[in-house]
Amino acid sequence: MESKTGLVQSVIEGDAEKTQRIVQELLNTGEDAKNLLDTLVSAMDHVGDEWRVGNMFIPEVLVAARAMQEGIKLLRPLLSATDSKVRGTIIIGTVQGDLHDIGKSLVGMMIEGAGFQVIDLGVDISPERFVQAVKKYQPDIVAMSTLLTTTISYMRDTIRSLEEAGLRNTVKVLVGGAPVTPEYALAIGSDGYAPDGATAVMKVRDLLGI
Amino acid sequence: MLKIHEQSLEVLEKVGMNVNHRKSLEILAQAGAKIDGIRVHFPKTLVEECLKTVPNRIVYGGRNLKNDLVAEIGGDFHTRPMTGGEGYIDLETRQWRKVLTKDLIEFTTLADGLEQVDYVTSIYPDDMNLDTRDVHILRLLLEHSVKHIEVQPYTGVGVGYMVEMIQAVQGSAEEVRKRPLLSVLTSALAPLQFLPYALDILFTVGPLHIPIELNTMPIAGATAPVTLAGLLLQANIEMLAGITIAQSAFPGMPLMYAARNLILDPWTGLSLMGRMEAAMMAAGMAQIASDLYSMPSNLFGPVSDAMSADGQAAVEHMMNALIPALCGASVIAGLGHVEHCYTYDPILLVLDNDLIGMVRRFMRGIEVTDETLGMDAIIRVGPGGNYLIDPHTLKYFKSEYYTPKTVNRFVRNVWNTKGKKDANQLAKERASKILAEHTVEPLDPKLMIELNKIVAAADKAAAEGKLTHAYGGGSIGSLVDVVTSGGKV
Repeated sequence: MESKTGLVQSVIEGDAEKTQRIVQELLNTGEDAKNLLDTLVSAMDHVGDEWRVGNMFIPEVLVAARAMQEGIKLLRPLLSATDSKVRGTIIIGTVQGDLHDIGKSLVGMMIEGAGFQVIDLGVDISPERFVQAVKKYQPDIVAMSTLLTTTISYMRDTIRSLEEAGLRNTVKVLVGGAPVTPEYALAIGSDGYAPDGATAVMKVRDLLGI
Repeated sequence: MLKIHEQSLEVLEKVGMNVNHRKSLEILAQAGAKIDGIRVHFPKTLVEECLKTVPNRIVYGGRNLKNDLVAEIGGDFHTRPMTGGEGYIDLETRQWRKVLTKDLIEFTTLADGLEQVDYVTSIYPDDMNLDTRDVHILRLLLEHSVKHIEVQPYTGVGVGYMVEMIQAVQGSAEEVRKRPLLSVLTSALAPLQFLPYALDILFTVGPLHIPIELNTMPIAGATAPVTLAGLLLQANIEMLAGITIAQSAFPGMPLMYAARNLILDPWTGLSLMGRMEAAMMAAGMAQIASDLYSMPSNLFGPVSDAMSADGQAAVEHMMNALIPALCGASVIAGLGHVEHCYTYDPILLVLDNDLIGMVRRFMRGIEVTDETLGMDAIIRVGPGGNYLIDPHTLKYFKSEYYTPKTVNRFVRNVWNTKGKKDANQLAKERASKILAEHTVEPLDPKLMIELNKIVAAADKAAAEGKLTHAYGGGSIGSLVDVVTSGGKV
């Protein structure tokens, strides 16, 4: 008989298959889907804490996040619309003219690992495409990344485009990447700045009041 | 390299060495050496016979089996801090002072707690009775570490008491022979001499086969030829003489080839050791020891002429540790010191711990197997993918890398918020944490009483002016006066 402790353990170990199996077993015994969702999210919070103090590492966090997501897949059909909106939705992309992918992907995966829904738009995303994505997904946060000083100004342009489209007040904006500084983030009207994945997760929580 | 061996034999036979020690002279005479006063001419055949009985494998016992070490040709290297320094840089105030007893305890606790430091060494406090200091130091080392202990006695007189203490801890002479908890440094005096105390030490520990770190420290341009090759030749002559004396007296006695070098600075007149050439000579010594004589070597080692843990210390420690390790040294000695072997810096000991971790990682090399080549992973991930959570990454991301504990791994903004700490500050914090948390398994109270009795006996003998060279070891060679013609001290 599997327990919630076993479920937490399977997420921490990053064992997606085991996580799904335990979720299914617990559902069969009549466990409430919302409770199981909370268990999965709390397991991931534990992983996040362990990572912040240096006891776990990014590959382990990511594989734990994947296990959690696999568990949530089984729960989603059983959850009400409110319950299934896990914590918040973030769209993330590298700004126009910049093809750097891995840093942005890593940040996205880390945020996803903390229990948020992340929609990764990819690289070279123009202000217009950010605006379209906001209309389509209605996210809580728009996260932008750049590695180049030559493309950093597209962050400002994207924020302006959101303003012009009348969407700026519907989302929070988070920026990061090597050339970005907290001062620059403030100057272009961003709501937050994160130098790395660790801080990005914390900023997302802050911005959403979690 | 063979030329170094041949020329060493030639000098040992033609010029010989001053051996200022009666017992040694008797034994060497019996073994066929030509003796003229204290000058010993070593026949080639005698030296070569003695080289045959030198062990190529030495066990260094710890207080428990877990801390036992084996030094052997082709094996992994081990590490120890510097012995014999007299200065200490305060962990908190960073001010220099003469070593105090509390510094000995602090440094030893750190060495015991640091995972890359394999054994501990004697440090010389200034606030102790100098006559019996060696004996007091050994008791403190026994109390504050479970690792193997190496001492560098400055006189022959206390060694008998030390041997008795080690027998008390290990329970029997047999156990001491099997996995000696103690090893002892003794030294030739360049050029081409052995002083009485150095050989008293040998004859006191010899019967129990307590390993000797056979040392010489010629100064290039002052007490040895100025050339790198010339220094290597002279150091080797001194090593071979020491080996011949030790093996003639105690066949099979474990010896470490511990030739070291200093370089006379032609501007200041100081004997320096942080230079690249010092590392090159250590490399040569490591190769001579392993390739010519199949002897474990004990060499410097992370050494520096810097005044404290700074950029110079970092550079000099790394090159001086990595290069001899690459050339097959069995022990990398000198951790935690600055100022050409004079001063201990506890912060540098913590930094050296990571440095040794890096050197060990280097020595492990790049493992090349079908599995580590990761072709399957490359095929799996394909163009444009990533390896962040590929099973291959998860399997190897930890074991493939050594992760230092006292370096910065942040972007600047994060580093700013974490207090802008440099490596020295990180090392200081780690030192404080170890000192606060590390515990050493206490010695049995009964054993402690026994050790205290031995120490008290040494103190009493010293107070009565009766410290005897013959204590404990039995067959001690007594002092002969330094002969003015050759034995200048």
